[in-house]
Amino acid sequence: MKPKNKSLCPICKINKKNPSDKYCKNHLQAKEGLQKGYESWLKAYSILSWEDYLKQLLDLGDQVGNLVRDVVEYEFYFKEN
Amino acid sequence: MSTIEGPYILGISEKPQAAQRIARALDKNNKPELNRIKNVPVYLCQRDGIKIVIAPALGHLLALSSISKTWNYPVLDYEWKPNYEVNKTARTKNFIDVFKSLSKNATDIIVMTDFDREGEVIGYLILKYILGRDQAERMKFSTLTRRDIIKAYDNREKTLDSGFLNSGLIRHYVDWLYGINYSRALSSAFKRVSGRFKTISIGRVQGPTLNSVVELENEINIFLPIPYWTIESEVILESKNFKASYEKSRINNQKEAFQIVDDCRSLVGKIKDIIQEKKSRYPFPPFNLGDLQREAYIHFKFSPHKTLEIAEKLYLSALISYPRTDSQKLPMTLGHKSILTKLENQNNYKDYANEIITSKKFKPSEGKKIDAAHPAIHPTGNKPDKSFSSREIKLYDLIVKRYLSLFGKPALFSNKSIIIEINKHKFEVKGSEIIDEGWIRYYKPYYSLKEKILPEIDIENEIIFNFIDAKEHFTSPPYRYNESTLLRKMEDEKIGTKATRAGIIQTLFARGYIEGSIINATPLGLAVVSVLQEQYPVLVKSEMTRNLEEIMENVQDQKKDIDKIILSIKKELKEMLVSFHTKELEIGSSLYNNLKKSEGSEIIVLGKCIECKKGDLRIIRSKKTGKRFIACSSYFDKAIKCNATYPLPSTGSIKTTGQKCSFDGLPIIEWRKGKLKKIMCISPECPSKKKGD
Repeated sequence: MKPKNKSLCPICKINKKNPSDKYCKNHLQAKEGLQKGYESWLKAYSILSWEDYLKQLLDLGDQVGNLVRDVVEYEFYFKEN
Repeated sequence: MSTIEGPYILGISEKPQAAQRIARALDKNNKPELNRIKNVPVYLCQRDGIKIVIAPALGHLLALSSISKTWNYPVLDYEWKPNYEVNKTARTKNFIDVFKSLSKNATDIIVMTDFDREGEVIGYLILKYILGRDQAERMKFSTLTRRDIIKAYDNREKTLDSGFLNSGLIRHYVDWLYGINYSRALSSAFKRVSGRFKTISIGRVQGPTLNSVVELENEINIFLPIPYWTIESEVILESKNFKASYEKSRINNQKEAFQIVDDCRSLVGKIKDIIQEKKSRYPFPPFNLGDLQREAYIHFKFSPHKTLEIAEKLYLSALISYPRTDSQKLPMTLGHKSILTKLENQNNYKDYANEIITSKKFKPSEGKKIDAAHPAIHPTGNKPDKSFSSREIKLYDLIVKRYLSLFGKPALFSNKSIIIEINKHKFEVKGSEIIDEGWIRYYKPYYSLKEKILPEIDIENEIIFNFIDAKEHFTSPPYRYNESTLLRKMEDEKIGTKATRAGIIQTLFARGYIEGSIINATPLGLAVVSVLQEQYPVLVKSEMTRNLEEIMENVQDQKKDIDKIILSIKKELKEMLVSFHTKELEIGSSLYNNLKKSEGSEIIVLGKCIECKKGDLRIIRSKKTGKRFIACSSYFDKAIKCNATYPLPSTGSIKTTGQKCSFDGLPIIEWRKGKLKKIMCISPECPSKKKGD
């Protein structure tokens, strides 16, 4: 099995600017939006786990921006937070 | 070369069709003598005992060219040259030769080109570099009708308009300097890293325009929908159903939305108020170019470029006034009564024109925008003959009806609002009744009002709701640009001019930076902007272009010395290019990496073609329609020219699976749209599909 290259973004496999970052610049920006969005979703539904949040976003399909959807898929299927 | 016997006044017209119209109007018998010199139509007119020879140009006959022959940058010195020497496809040599030969017997020169920046520059360059003179008179007109041309001839100015001329010249110099230097700089940076030459061009206005498309694309890519709720309800008023809207149009919390529905579960409310008011709606302002381009896009889906092209043809045929205008003003001096009387002779407009003439209201409504050179776009009253295409007639109809609407009375309607309260929650039923359509009658079908008449009902009456529900929604991503909204964006950003914006959008299409009727940035466009944003943002931000536009506008208004301004622009540009040069390697490698990635991502290979057995089946996106399909790469191989193509769903994402269909051996793809996912053979005729596999 090929070892993981930590300097690459796990989603798009391009070089990360800073190796300590989780994603590349674009996916990092999408992740920030995803985190901010969670606060709005929490206000809207009062109770909502991070996992349910991701699940609902997956159900919304094309309504979610491509980069955000990449992060949602990655975080949901790899159970990372 | 045969020529015309002198002495005569030589008129410089912008195009052959305009030359013919002007000649017909100026000749005492409306029958000028046509002479074909080197296949160029030249007209000889007689007026007040004076011979006038009118020769046409073909737009610009000269173009800027670098003095230095070496291919490097910065390039700061230029000269005007015949444009057939600069652009080998330009067929302007005969036109230049004809002007040279006609110059010999000409006592005076009159510039008769369109009265705007470009018209002034075209006339000036012919005067100075082809005729070798420095003095000419100037005819200024806004339509090519006989009345306007004779008036322009009788009142011609003694000199060219220096404001227009200087601001036109400075635009040519600045656009040339920025275009050539940055295109060379980008191409050279790419070559330095890749070792191969590729033209990567970017202009002063193209950069920020492309950046707007890419920025919107980025915004859509990181868009996250946020949930919200609306309260949907329907009431019964006098046994008819009406939609009622809740006092808050949007509720951001699910609990609150459900609470409202619960509070209103009795579905019985009371009328608390009835508000009735009369409102007037005034006509839209007269058309300037931007408004006409937008309206033509809305009603006919004409691109701004197409609209301008058609409008120019209508102008050259003396059917409408000069279209490249910002003005929303229609002064009384245009002779509206005479235009309306002419329109009365056209069956389509007869009744409305007659109504206006009978009402004796000849003062049209106007907008706020002004243009020193031309009035708003309006019809001349002349009737189009049968040679005009349906597209041209459509645009003509839009212009005439907009013009007629300006003389109409304000539309009058009565708005009624019934406020219903149910357990302290307020709902509103809105209705509208037309009292007088006014100007809207003249502008149909391009605008209409919908009536919703509410029944007569008393306050404190009890009202039954059919239902009151909470509906969940999610915010939507911003809409991508189409050509019309991109044009609006350029106007808002104050980049480009009314005359150039549509052309710049076309250039972005032609260079492969953007595609589709709903505009997407191509991988190439994304790559170029991404590099420039990171390494050299000044080229994609609007500020620099906007500042330059301001400087150039000031030249026109204040008639400043353009040599000094050009010198300071050159100095600034040189400094910017020096800074570019220090970053050339970084920019080049960034461009190389991004383009490599984009070139790779542009072509998705699904597998070998089963028809020619040689080519690859690839997903292609049509540059013209934006639609995607599968085609064989051997189509471009002249020896094979394989025509194999397969359709693809127009929306959703497509991935390769690496598998082949067991029925026909064609590749199997994965198609995804929202929750839907399908693994399928690319052939629509595949037996697997018929069997429902």
